[in-house]
Amino acid sequence: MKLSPQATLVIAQHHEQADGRGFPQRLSAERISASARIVSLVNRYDTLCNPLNPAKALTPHEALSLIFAQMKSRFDALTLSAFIKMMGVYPPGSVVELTDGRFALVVSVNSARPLKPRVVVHDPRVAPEDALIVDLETQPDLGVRRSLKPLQLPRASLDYLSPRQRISYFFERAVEAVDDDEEARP
Amino acid sequence: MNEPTLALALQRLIDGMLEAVWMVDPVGLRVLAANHAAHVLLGETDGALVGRPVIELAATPEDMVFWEDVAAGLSDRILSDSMVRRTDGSLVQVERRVSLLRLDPGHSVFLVCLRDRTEQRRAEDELERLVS
Repeated sequence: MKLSPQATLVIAQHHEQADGRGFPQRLSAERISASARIVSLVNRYDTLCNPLNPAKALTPHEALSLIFAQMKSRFDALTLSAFIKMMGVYPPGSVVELTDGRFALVVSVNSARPLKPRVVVHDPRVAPEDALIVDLETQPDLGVRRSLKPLQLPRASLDYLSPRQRISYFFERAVEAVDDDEEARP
Repeated sequence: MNEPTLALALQRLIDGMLEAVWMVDPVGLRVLAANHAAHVLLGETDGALVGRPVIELAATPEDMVFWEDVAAGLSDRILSDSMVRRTDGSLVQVERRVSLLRLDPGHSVFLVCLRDRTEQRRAEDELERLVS
């Protein structure tokens, strides 16, 4: 297939774990390439959100919480921290219930205040095409109560918010990239 | 009221509560008092939680971020579903509420209340499995 050496390395190492308990070679964290560390984490996240049995799927928020709470020794700390910073505590596309009982769809991450994303709120008095985006950072008394699977939404909220299987969005940079020219400059 | 007297009064207050509860010093962000139910929930022996930095008890990114926001003066309350980690490493699904109690002009404490959602979550998952 003429894959690059970096790509073949990722394929070889993406089931390795930072704690040295992965396979096939039980490599320690420092011997796993940076790309493989990223793919390993994303692969795990995707498996939790999209398992073979859809009934066992976690919401993106639950998947991030589980990885952090129970599996963080398996992943490189810097990679995991950057991933959470980029995805937010409630990743965009998440269906959530707000603390006032209304249902909403997360549309963007606030990397400075991860608990305060911007959301589209289901308000039956407002037409879906005019639905307002609420910045939770400006609403001190309003927060996210829990994340939900789309099928847990009442029908009216599901139709209004119409959550998608996939969502595209731009990440804010979680880690400053090293500028090669800058680094080489005396 | 000095700190030991305050901690004793708080301990007596929360010992009678059914929910798992701990109280947190808003300046040092350490546990001032925790009831028996809290120790049972986390699998700790009675008294083991007192003095611990609250960030140590935060198992999820949401809880970590919340206490960072508190330290930065950006937040003083949260109510959401979360998880706590027991000493044996297992996770417990909880409903967690944190609020700031102003006891008098000179004293305030954070009240952390947790309700075990394990059974509720099991029932929800079972229902979903049957429906799917």
